Amino acid sequence: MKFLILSYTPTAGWDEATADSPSEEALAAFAAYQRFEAELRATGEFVTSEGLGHPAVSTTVRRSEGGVIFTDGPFAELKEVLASFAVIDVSGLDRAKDIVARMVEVLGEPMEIRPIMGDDFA
Amino acid sequence: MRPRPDALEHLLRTEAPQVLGALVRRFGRFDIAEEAVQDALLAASRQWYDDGIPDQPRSWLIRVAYRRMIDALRAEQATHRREEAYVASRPQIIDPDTDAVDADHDDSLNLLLLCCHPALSSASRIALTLRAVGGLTTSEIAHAYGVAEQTMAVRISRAKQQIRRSGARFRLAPDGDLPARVSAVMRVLYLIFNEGYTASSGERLTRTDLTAEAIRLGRLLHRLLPDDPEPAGLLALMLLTDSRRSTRMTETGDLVPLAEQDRTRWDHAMIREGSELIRAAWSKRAVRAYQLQAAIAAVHANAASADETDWEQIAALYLGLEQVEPGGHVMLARVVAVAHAYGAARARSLLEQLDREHGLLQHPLTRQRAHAIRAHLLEREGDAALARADFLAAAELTENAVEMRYLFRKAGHA
Repeated sequence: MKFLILSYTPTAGWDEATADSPSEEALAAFAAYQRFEAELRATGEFVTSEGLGHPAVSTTVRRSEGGVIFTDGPFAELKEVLASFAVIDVSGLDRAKDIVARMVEVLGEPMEIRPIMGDDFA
Repeated sequence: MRPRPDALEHLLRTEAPQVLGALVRRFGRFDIAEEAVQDALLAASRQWYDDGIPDQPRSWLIRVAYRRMIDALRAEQATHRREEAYVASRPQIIDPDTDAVDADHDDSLNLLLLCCHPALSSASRIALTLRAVGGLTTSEIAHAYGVAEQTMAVRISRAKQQIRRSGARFRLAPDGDLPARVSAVMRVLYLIFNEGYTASSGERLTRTDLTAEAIRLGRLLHRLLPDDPEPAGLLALMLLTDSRRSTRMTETGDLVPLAEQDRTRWDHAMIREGSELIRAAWSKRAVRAYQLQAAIAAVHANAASADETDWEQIAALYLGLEQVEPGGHVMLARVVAVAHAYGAARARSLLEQLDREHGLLQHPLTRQRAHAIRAHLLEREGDAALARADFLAAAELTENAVEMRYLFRKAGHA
C-alpha cells in the first residue's frame, strides 16, 4: 500500500536551505539520503520523490461568486511548510515508519506519513 | 581564469531571455521575474569576471534569479496579499498535446510576443524588448534613447504593470493571432534599428549599439521562425542597410548621399548575407513589406557603382511596396527612384501628383523629405531659385544637426 511522505521545513530556514553553497554536512546528508533512496528503488518500494518550490511561488485557486480566483502565494501562511514529498509503496505502516525514521535521521527535518487511500477504501 | 569582458557580456545577453523564459514559464509573474533576472545578470557580471564562468552558467543564473524572485514575492505577499487576488473569468483548458509541442519552443519567442503586447505603447514595447529580451540595463537603454534613467525606469515599470493588468499570458493561446503579434515584434525591432541608424536628434548620426542590438534580435526572430519569409526579409533589410554605415558620414560628420559613398568600403560580408537571405525568402510565399524593402536594399548593395544601379527595378519594387504598405515615405522613395530611372521632370510631376492626392508637402511626417527631394529635382532641372527655397524649407524642418548642415550648404550653393 502507498504512503505519501511529507517533509517540512521552517519557512525562516528555507533560504539557507536553497543557498548556493550548501554546507559539507548538508551535502553529506543528501548523499546518504540518495544511497538510501537507491536501496528503496532496488526493493521496489520507492515510487517517486520531488522537491518543491518556495511557498512564495505557489498560486492558490479558489471558486468565488465572481468566478475562479487566483491568489499569488500559499493556501495558508505557516511557520513550517512543505518542502518535498515522496511516495512509497510498502507492506504497511510499520515498514513506512522504519523507512521514514531513517530518512528523518539522515535529513533532520520532521516528516509526516500520510496513507494514500487505495481501492479497498473506495 | 578571468573571462574577456565582451565574451562575458555576450554570454549574459544571450542567456537573459532563456533564464527569464524558464522562470516565467514555471512561476508566472513576468514583472517580478524580469527584475530578478536583471539582478542575477548584474551579480553574474561582477562575480564571474572575478571568479570565472561557472560550469553551468544558465543554472547559476536561474538559481540566483529564483532566489531574488522569492524575496520579492515574499515582500509583496506580506504587504498586500488580499489585494493581489485576480479573477480568471474564463479558465483556460490546456490541450496536453499542444502543451507538449509548445514545451520544445524557445521561450524567447514568447518573451518577444509578450514585450510587444498590444496593450503597450510603442515606446514601452521598445524599452521592454531591449531589457527583457536584449538583456540591456535600464541605464543603457536610457542612454541610447537620450532620456534620463529615471524616466526610462518609470516607462519600463509601467509597461510591466500594464502587462500584468491586461492578464496577458506568457504563452500565446492556440487561437492567438500569431501573424499580427509577430508583425508587432518586427515593427519594434525595425524602430530600434532605425533609432540606431538615424538618430532622430542630436549630433551623432549612428548609434551603433542600437543597430547591432536590432540585428541581433532580428537574427533571433529569424532563427525562431525560419519558415516565415518576413522576419528573414527584415533581417536582410537591416544587414543591407547597415552595410553602408561606415560610408554615410564624412570625417567631419557631414552626410554622404548614397551615390557619393565609397562602395569599396561597404561591408561586403553583410551584403552577401543580406542578399542571400532575401533571395531565399523571396521564393517562399506572398511578398510583404520587409522583403520588398530588403530587395530594394539588395539592388543598391549589389550595384558596382551608383551609375550601374538598376533604378527601373527599384522604382517597380517601390510601386509594389506602395501597394502593400501605402505611406508618404514610400511614395517619396518611389519619386526618387523614378527620378533616377526616368529623369527629374517625370519624377517631379509624379511628386506634384502625389502631393495633390496625399498632401506630402504639408504632412508633418513627410514635408521635410518632400521639400528636400523637390529641391534636388529642381536643382537637376536647373531651377536654382526654386531649389534654394526648397533646400531652406527642408533644412528648417529637420532636427538632425548633420542633415541640417548638409541642406543649408546645398541652399547656399544651389
